[in-house]
Amino acid sequence: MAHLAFCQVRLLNGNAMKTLLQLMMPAVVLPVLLSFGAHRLGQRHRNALWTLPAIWLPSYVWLNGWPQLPSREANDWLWLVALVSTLTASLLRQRKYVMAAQIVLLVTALSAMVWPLRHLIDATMAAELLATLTAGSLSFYRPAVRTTVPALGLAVSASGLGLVASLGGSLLIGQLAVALAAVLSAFALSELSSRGGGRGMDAVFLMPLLQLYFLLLMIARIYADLAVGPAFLLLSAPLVGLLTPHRYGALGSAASASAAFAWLLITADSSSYY
Amino acid sequence: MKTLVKHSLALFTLITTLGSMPSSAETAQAGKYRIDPAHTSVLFTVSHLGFSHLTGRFNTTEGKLVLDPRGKSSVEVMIKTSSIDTNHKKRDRHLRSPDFLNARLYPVIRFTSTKVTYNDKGEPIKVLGDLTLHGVTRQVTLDVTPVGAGKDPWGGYRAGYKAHTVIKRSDYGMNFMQGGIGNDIRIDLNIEAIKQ
Repeated sequence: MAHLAFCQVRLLNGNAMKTLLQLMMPAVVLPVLLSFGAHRLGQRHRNALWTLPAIWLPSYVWLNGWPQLPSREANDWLWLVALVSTLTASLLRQRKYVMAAQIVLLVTALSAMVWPLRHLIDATMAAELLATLTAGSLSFYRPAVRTTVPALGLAVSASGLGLVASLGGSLLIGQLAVALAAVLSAFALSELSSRGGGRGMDAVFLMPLLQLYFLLLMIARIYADLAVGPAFLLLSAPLVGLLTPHRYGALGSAASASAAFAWLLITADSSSYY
Repeated sequence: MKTLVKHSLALFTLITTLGSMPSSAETAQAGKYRIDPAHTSVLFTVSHLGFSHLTGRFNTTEGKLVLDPRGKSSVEVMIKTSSIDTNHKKRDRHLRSPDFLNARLYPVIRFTSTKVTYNDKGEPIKVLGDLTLHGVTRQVTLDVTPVGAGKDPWGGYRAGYKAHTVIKRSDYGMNFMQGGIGNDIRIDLNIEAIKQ
């Protein structure tokens, strides 16, 4: 026991501590702080809610480095998607136009990310891309409700993706997903703790964050070989939360994300070697 | 009688084997060579958290050498990125991911020489060339040590070399986990090539 304690202290010294901070700061601490700030701003200015994807961007740059221009890797497209998606959603007034624009953007982003591997596309990969597109399009199609539940559902799904991607292939994708979850969780918690229950969040504000979620999942599946079973469950996780018309939708997302995590634990070597 | 035959055969085998052993003093003949993947290894060493050094390897390598101290020489080595092996499957999978090598997008690591320098004996000692890794091409210098050359037991002619260089992974756009995993990567090549 004493030996274990010694090891822990030893591991938290020097470079190990620096590494731990490097993992935690951009993925959790920074997005949570920025999200709390955005919520306070959002109570006075409704448009401040559009800043949620922008809050994710500093974490993205911290973790991924400055994106390459022109984009070389799938990750390099994410910042552009976040910006274009947010701009599109904030400039277009009517919900149906916002939805159409988000679907077009998802198709474009998926095509751009997979383009370098076009010679590898087979029936399986095509089916997976189609499934991602279908899930994304369905999740954009939302009735006009203002509640915190969809944000919570997506936060839970993104947390699941963070865990599964970190253990199942790419720590970077996992951290980017955790940063997304941190933004949403901090925002949802701020909402729930506000006097009078807060103003809720129009589902349309989630669209840019949903874009990022589905694209991160696709990158983890195609470029980091995330197992197909957990990937499918994670694909359905936000849908369950978003399409369930009552407040228990987030629990549905949690069930799907937990099943994905359990699948990974049972079928693959989930030990960490870091 | 039986023992005599047995001893004679053993002596014959020893003499023929010694006769075909490569000589470390022999300078490799000029000509075209093909890298023998079964007797070639590409190793790399990198710091882990500053505590220790981890060594890994790439298991699939191919390439060719053209050796000619008086003419044009060249070295070309291609390494299959997904053949990385650090004796830990999970870590190998992570190293293949977009966090590091992005093996799906960049399936080959390639070295193409631009200049080969020889010593007075006509042995290659430095190879300057372009290393393409993670989609980025940069110039590196390989320090070469000849190991041996000569006829092999099957009638062919082989030459062997050791080479090493140190690169910075940040130069190749691999910046993930810089605090924990060292930036400097030492690359060691043990090459055996068969004359064509």
